[in-house]
Amino acid sequence: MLRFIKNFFIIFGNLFRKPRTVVYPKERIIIPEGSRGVVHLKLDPDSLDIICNGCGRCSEICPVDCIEINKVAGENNRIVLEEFIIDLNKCIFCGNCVDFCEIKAIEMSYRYQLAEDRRKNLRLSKSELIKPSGVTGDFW
Amino acid sequence: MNDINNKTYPLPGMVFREELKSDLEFILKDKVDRITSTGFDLLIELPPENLYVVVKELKENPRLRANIFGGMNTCKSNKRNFLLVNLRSAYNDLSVLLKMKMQSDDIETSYIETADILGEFYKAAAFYKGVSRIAGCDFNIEIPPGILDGLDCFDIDIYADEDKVKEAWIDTCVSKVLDYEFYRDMKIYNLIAIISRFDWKAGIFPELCLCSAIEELLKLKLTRRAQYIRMLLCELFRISNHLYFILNICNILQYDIGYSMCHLERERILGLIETITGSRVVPNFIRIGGVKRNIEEETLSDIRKNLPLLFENIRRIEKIMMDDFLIIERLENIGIISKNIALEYGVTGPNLRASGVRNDLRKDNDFISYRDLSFTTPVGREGDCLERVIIRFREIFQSLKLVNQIINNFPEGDYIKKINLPHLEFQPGVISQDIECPHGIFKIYMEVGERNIDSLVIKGPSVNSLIMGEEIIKGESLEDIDLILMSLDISPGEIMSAQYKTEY
Amino acid sequence: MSAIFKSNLNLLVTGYGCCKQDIFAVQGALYDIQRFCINFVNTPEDADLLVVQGFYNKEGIIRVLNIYERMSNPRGVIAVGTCVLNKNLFSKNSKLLAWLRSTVKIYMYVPGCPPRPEAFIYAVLRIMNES
Repeated sequence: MLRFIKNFFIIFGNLFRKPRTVVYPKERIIIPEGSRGVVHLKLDPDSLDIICNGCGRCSEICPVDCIEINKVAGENNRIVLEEFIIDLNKCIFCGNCVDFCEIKAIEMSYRYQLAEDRRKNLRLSKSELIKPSGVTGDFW
Repeated sequence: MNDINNKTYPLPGMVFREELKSDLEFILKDKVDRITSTGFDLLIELPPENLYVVVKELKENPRLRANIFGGMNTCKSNKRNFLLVNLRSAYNDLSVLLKMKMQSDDIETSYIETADILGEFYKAAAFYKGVSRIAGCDFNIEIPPGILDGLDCFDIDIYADEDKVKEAWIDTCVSKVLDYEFYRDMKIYNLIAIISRFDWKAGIFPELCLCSAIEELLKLKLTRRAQYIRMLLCELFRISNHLYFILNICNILQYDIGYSMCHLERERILGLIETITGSRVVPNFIRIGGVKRNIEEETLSDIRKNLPLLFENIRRIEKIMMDDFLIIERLENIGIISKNIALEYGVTGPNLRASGVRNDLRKDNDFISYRDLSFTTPVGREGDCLERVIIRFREIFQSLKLVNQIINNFPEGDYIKKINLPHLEFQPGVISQDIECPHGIFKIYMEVGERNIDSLVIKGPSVNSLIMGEEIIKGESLEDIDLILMSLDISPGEIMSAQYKTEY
Repeated sequence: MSAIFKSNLNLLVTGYGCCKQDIFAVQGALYDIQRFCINFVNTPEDADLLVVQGFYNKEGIIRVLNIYERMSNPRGVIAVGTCVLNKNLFSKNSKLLAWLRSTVKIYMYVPGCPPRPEAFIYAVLRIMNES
């Protein structure tokens, strides 16, 4: 008899509890800090230039060769980054490129909502990697 | 005899190497006790003609008594080709590796010949032979799509009398996806990044095994904080793996309450793991000489907050499942593994402990620094499916206790030793390393050159469980087969690293 | 795609690999994909969308194409994970993507190794909304 009363109170309490299910498109699931998403090119806070100088260290050590870097000689014989392409078809999100970058020019963002209907749309170029990490376009 | 003795020398580190014709006991007379007490592996290089004599000596000598067949692997590269056979002894913890050099052309045929010779001594070696399918067999169950993780890496042929299984034959032709030399021209930090796919139910253990093998070669000693971070991650991944096992069992039994409750608790654990490592499944977190990044104080308090919730909820899951007599009736008295069969097929881990053998590398060897902490190894008695589920529940509670102890006395200090990773150079040598992963004993054998790894053999414990599955489903009824095979906790990533017979 | 897909969608997962546990995690109570009337089925005749993930060798490719032939129209394929989108991680010459692109229509590519469960829900919902 005691057990029935106990169970009744458990079920009655469940009526007022918030459900554990996250209603996904309306409220976002909280991603922990330090989670590994798409690579994000950092900007210099003062001059808003890209910090990366195109040394090519990250594309050398990448285990699946997914980073392509083009560099040109700018004024005063300085080497300037022209294009930075990351191919998400190949990327395995291991984070080795961030570890080995000497000037800390790249970081991993929280961008995880990735799905495209064309394979070539997953080749992200420099202009898309500069954008602050957020949601890739709403569809509702 | 003199020049034979000259070739016997201990290498730096892990392995004693021998090269001999016969008369094993004469050479090993004094060394056997020393080798077994240190926990090293004994490596014997021998020509293929002498295999019969050496194996007979190992099996029948009363001081060696190697009665467990661990496994058999090929290693094929442009430099060297060899077969590696692992034998162990249940009586005095002796572990022997037999290495046979082969020509590159006939490695497939000599593989079958070796399995034939070994089959005379060990029952488990019959799986590696090129046996043809069962004669007159009509039931050929191919992998149906949409089946659960763990049962999807093999086909099974069944010859049945009404609804009782008479003969079974397992074919692993779909799971052979590995190149022989996937590690060639690969730097070590890149190998660490991809090696966790070999055991994706608990991804930290292959990385840990590789890194601790290399540290053993470099004679690095870890700081206490790095050791504690590693132990914390090991226990968290062990809890996550066992919860995944229980939810798969619930899914087969169509028991939806347990299924969704286990999913909720597993998401909680994976959230903790992601806060520490940065990924849910494939951590890429262990580095040579330590770990990748530090654990903040906030993370520790986060874990401390979640521990009582986890304990309470898993207790409740256990209570709900074990009070239900339908589940007990379904799981009880099927798939019984007796102690002798488990030892004969070389099964390790919770499956072995469920049938009554106390064997845990965390206690036996000094694995990381588990000696500081107090915990018990749960041991079962019956060895049926119910016992294997109960053992997992008890191991989860022991792991929660361990996590609590680790967090409460978390030491200060550095989390990594600074070493020059891109220009790493080490002494050439041979290493074999064992660790205790949630399925059993995970083993890595590698030969190292000056800059890179020459040959690498990865052997997981699920291979032995799968071979034993062929044996224990005989005599069971047809509807229990998937339940029995699921309760062996097969991790498909370990199956793909072993090379077997193929027919096409 | 047809308008039937807006109300109900049946998924079939093939292959073995690391992405499988994160795809099935979507069934759990935290994500709960059955809010959108999306179900996982076991027979190819019932399925609308085929989820291709994981490692395949020569034998495996033949089986996937057989399963695709048994499905009834309208039908489609979602490709999940790096092993399908580019090549097998451990084998240099795997031809799964070339086979798939030459014979079937791939509706959505989901990158990641393995992708998070949210990314998988996002891909399926995009197919439902675009049809």
